[in-house]
Amino acid sequence: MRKSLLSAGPDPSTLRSVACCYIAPPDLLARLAEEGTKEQRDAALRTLAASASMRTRRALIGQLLRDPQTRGAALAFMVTPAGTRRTVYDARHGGQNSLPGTRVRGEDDQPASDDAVNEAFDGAGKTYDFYEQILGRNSIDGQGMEIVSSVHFGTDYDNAFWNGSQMVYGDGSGQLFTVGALTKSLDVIGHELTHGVTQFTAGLEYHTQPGALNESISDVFGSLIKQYSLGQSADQADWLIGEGTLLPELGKALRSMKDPGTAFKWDNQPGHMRDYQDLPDDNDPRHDNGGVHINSGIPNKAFYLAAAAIGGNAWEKAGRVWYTALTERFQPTTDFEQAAKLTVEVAGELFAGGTEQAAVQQAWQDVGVL
Amino acid sequence: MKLSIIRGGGIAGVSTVTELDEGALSAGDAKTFRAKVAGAEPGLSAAGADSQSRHPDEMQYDVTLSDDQTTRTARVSETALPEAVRSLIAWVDAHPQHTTRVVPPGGSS
Repeated sequence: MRKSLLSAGPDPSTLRSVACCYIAPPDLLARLAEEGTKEQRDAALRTLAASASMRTRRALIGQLLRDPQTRGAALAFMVTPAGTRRTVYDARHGGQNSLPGTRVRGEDDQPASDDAVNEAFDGAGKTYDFYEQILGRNSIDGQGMEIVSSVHFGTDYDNAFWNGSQMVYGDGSGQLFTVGALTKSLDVIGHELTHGVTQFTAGLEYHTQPGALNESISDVFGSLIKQYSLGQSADQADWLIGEGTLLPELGKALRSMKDPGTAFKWDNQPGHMRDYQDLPDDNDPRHDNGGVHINSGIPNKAFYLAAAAIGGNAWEKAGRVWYTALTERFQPTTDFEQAAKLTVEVAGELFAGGTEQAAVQQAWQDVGVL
Repeated sequence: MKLSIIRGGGIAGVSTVTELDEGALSAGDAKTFRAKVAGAEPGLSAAGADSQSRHPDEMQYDVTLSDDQTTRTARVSETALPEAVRSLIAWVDAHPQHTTRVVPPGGSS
């Protein structure tokens, strides 16, 4: 595992993708962490966790430690909490400025009367449990980070995303996504929260091949979280992402890892390098950051093939290989070929003398990466 | 005046193009539309034409205003979307005269 100062977060270079969320000055955050209400303090600490600047965090902690009045507060947030900590907010149809919104349910609270709140809460819990029980990871950042979710974002909003420090769910418009479906899909929740894990580990840049790999990693662990929750082995799993989230007439799911390009009406994901789509990396909304949701089909298929060849529960071996590669080997600019070589290498180390390494090698060959 | 909103990215990676033409609106709705556009103008101008976006699964928007003389496009990401622009988009989405079509991932509009 990559270690960093205070063991409180990743190398600063891995956080470049979230630089734009760091909006409040550090001394204001310090004041909130120190004097604010519990909610303000938690929000300040989340912002710090997403800060692009490790130096800022060090300076803040140093500042708090030097002041005898605030040692308690400083120490309180340096201690790694044990167990899951979830909080769900209602954005009440507001936009970015409304986040996180009105607090509706915390870790020890009874279920709310709002299904979306409870679904986001339960999905975060299942995701936490998977990472903790299977991979030994304590929350998104590996340090017990509170998992914050906001539901009812925007108006008829057709998306769910990880904004660098929390989960954001729209209700769906009923035109593209089925109303209320995004919080019901455990692999969507696992996919999004895994973007947070990637942010705190490899920091894969969100464009072109590193971006498609980032997307694929989220599909891999989103699917594994669902498989683990259902107790499904590799041959029993459907390998679909977001099954039932789209209107039924548009298709069965957002993506198929087993058979890329077949999940919905406009699905044109490739499952082999010969069909790689080299889209411009220009922020045009139609180009998807250089096709990150399109070309992810290639590493998705490689993972499926490796898991299917190894057999059994996909999270036990293939998942372990991919997780180790993500957290200990990948860099922000890792491309498909590098990812392939690194996963093959890790498979050999974790399962020396077994058939796993050959299965991983063959999988990447079958999709034309190696 | 015509407004075109291209939305892309998002967890599905699907783009949609939504359009509303002032000419198709009643006098009352046209007035509201112009007021909404005027309210969104400062935000659209500030957004510029190439707002950076690198949050996973965040949506990205191209908002284009055109009339007989000019066409202006603001490119903005979800986390930078001004509230007045969001409000304009929500109003257009809710108006029965708008049209929306899907652009396949990687396709052109």
